[in-house]
Amino acid sequence: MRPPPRATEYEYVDTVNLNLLCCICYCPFIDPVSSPCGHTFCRLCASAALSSAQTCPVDRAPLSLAQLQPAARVITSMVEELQVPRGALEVHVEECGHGLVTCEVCQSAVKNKDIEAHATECPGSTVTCPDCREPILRSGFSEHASICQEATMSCPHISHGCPWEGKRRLFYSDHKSSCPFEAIKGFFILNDQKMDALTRLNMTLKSEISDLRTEIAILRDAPPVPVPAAFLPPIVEETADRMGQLLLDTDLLRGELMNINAGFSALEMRQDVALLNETARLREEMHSVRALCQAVQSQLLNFALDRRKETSSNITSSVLTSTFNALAGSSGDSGNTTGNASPPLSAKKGSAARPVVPGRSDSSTGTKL
Amino acid sequence: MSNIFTKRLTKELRDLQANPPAGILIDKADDDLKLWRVVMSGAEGTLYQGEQFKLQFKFSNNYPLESPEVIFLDTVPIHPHIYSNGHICLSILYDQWSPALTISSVCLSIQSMLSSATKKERPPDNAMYIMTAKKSPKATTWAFHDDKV
Repeated sequence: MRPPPRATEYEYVDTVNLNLLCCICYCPFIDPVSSPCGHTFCRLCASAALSSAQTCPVDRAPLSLAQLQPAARVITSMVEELQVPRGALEVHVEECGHGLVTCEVCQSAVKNKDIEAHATECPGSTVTCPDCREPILRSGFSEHASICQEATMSCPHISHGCPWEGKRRLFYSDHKSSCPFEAIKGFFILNDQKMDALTRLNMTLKSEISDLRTEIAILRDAPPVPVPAAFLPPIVEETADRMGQLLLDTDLLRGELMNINAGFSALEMRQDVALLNETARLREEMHSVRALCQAVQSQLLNFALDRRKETSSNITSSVLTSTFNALAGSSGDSGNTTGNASPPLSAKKGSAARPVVPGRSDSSTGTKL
Repeated sequence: MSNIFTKRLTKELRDLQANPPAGILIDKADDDLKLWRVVMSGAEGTLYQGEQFKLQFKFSNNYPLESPEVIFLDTVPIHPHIYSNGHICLSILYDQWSPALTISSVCLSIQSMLSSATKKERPPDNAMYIMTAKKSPKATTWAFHDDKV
């Protein structure tokens, strides 16, 4: 038989688009495959090229046969659309592997490409029996094989342990009458039947066991079913009620506790602020008292100096008196505000000038001191 | 003779005769397509301007899976990669051959190799090589070192 023609043998009507040519055979692609690097070849061309070098023929990128993928459908479609002249078509029709031919022996229609394979299986052809050397029709061969007198066969009791093997002809003439297993054939049949029944039963039981096992496993894995309230003793219900009440109470108490805590902290804050204010006030008062003391000190110093300079003790005493008056007047309301602390200051200022004013002298106060 | 060999060389011959590349002319090709002669002209503006060389292509049945044997005949151009016996030191003719290469692309490669020469001189080991070399350059183990060409 002629091999199915390859499309390379065709002449095409038009100039074929260069992009549809395999760069190895320079013919339109047949069964095109594409490489990961994006090049397309005929499958046969690609495998031939890769057998000599494991690189892409176009860009030399490493490439193996396994990396080749069937090319995009559009490429195959475009190649299939190429037209061949009518003459080539007629030639092709005769050679086409898919055309039907009639088998001369069995008269059945067979595909051109299958005719060679058909010859080995045509039911109309004769075969020679390998045992009796007689020509037999292929269709009847399997039947013949089971009755051929020259064929080698084993004793039908081979499964029970009979080792006999020989030509079928000899079995009937010789072995069948002498085979010890043949004598207890009836027992074997009964035994086999019983055995079959037991095996079947065994199988059924086995499958039942496995079903039950899976059921148990499912039940074991399933979440526990909650017990309906109706089945629970009433005492349980009561306890549950009480428990709920207790939980509620606890919540209430917790809330109250939190309220008290908040009240406390607010109160604490208020107290702190009041304390702070008071402290500040006291501190101011202390400052003013301290200032007054300083003023008195400095005035006393002045007086001491003045006394040395001046002989008149009247003046000294009068100034002293006025100073102490001022001091006594301011101490009553000093410390309230800083403004109130000013009189003793002005008194102090004045005190520097006073010693020169004789009219202000007062002997009686001076003596008091 | 394998079908792909005939088919491809027929096509290449037809294409080269119909649209020959500049400076490349098919002199003759045997009927069985196994032996070709190509006339190559030195490109304008190069050291080989105005000169003509004859190339011989020998194809095995395995072409294009196997590279053709390419040598210069008669007047061998004086070039640092071409030995005086006509053998050409060009990687694509030997282990870098790819079935996607064609006679036309091989001719263009040789032409560009000629054009890139800056000095007309023989390879430094010319005398030694032509004494020991076999008839076919494909029997030589080539070492390629000049990437500029």
